[in-house]
Amino acid sequence: MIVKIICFFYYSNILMQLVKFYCPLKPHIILQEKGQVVKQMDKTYMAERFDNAALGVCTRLRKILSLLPQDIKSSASEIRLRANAPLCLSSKSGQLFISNNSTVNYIYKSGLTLVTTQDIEECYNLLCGFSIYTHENEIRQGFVTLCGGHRAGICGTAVVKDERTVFFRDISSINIRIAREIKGASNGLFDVKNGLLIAGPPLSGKTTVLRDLIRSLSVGLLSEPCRVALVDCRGEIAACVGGVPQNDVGPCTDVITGCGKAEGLEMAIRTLAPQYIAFDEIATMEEAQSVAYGMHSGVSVITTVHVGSVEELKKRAAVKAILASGAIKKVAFLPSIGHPFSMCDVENFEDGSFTIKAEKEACRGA
Amino acid sequence: MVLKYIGIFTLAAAAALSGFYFSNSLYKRVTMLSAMLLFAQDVSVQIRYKQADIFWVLKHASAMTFSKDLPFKNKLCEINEELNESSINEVLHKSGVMEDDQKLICEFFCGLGKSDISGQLSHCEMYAKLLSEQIKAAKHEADEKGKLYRTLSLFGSAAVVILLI
Repeated sequence: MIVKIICFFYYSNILMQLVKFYCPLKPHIILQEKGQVVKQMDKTYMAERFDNAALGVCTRLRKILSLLPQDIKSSASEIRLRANAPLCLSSKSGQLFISNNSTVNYIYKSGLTLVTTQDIEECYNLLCGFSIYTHENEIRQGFVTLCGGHRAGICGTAVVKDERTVFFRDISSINIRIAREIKGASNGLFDVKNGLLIAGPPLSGKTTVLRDLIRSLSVGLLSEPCRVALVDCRGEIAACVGGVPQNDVGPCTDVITGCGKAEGLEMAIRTLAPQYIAFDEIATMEEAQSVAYGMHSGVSVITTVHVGSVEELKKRAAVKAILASGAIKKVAFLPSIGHPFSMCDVENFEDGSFTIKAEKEACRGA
Repeated sequence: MVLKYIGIFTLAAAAALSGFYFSNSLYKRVTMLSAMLLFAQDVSVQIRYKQADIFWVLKHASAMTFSKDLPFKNKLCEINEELNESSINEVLHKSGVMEDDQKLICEFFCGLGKSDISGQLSHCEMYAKLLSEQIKAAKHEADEKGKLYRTLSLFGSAAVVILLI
C-alpha cells in the first residue's frame, strides 16, 4: 500500500513536470486572467495615482484637476503644464485640454485653464520640495522624481558651464508622468535567465513591465525567490522615500538609487551578490560595458531601451554592444500599452550585425 | 508710615530691576545671534553632507543644543511650505526678535532651498559673516548700553529713595 502511494506521488510529480514542460504558457494564461481582473478593479487605484501625481501641481491647478471625472483621471498618463498655454493631459485618446470648470475638451478653444509663469514657478518649487539643491543632479538631466515615483520632466533655459548643462532657469514647461504599478504586467515573460531587454517606444509601459518582472522574480512567481539588485537611478521603479520603496518590488530586492547606472551596476555586482540585476533605460556605451562586466560575473541582466521598432534596435550603439557581449539573449518588444509583446531571440551575432528571430507573441497582464 | 516705606522700596526696586532687565535683554540678543550663527553653520553642514530637504535640515538644526537660545525654533519647525517672507516674519515677530535682526534672519531663511548646493553654501557663508558682524555690534552695544542702563537704574532708584524719604 505504502509503495503504491509513493509510486502515485512520484508519477503524478513527473506528470506535472511534463505538463509544465510542454505547456509553459498555461500558468501564464491563468495569471493573465488574474491580471485582467486586477486591471478592472484598479480604476480607482489609477485615479488615486493621478491625484497623487497632482500633488506636484500648484494649489490653483490642483483644485481644477481634483474635480475631473474618475474616467479621465484613470486614463491620463501625463499632466502637462506650459507657460501661457492651457492645462493639458495626455491619454490614450490624445491630448485633453482642461477648462476652468474642470471639463475636458479634445480641441483647443477659448475658456481653457491657462497656466501662468507663476504657476510654473510654484509647481517647480513644489516638485523640488522647496529644496532645489536636493534635486540638482536630476534637474541637470531635465527631470525631478516625485514622491510616489512620478517623474516630472522640466523644460527651460539651460545654464551651461564647461559645455555641460548645470541648471535650468526660466522654466517654461513641466510634464508630470504618472507612475502606475500594474501587477501582472509582465505575465508571459518567464524566460529571463539569459538576460532580457525590454524594448519599446515611449509610453509603451516598459518601466511598468520591468517593475512587475522584478517583483515576480523577487517574490518567486517564476521560480524560487531570487536576489534582485535594482539600480534605480531616477527613482521611478522602486520610488524609495526615506529608504523605503513606495512601489512593490518584492522582498528580495536591493535598491540602489541616486547614483549613475554604470557606477550602480558595479557597486551592485561587487557588494550585493545578486542573481538578477535590473535597471531602466540603457543609453550609453559606458552602461553597456558595465552590463558586459555583469554578465561575466554570472548575473542575469534585465533592462529597457527606447526604440520604435525591432529594426531600430540594430541602430543603437549601446544596444549593439550589449547584444554583442552576449549579456542579453532575449528581447521583449512592446509596441504600445495594452498590446501583446513579442519575444525575440538574438542570434548569429557576427561582425556587428545580428538577427532577431521572433519567437512568439505573448499577452500582457495589463 | 510702614506702607510709605514699602512703597518707596518697591519703586526703588522697580527702577533698579528695569535697568537690569534692559541690560539683560541686550545680552540675550547677543546670545540669540550667536545661536543663530551656529544654526546657519549647521544648516550649511547638513546641506553639504546630507543633501536632505530644507525642512529636515531646519528640524535637525532646531534640535541641536545651541538652538535652545533661539526663541523661534519651535514655530520654525512647524512651517511645511515654502519659506516665504510673510511666514518667517510672522514667526520672528511672535518670538519678539528685534527689527534689525528680524530683517537679517528673514533674508537668511527666505534664501534657503532656492538654489543649487554651491549656491546654498555661499548663501549660508555670506549670512554667517553678516551675523558675525551683527554679533560684534550687538556685543559692543550690550557692553556700553548695558553698563549705562544698570548705572542709571541704580542712580534712579537711589534718587527715588532720597526724594521720597
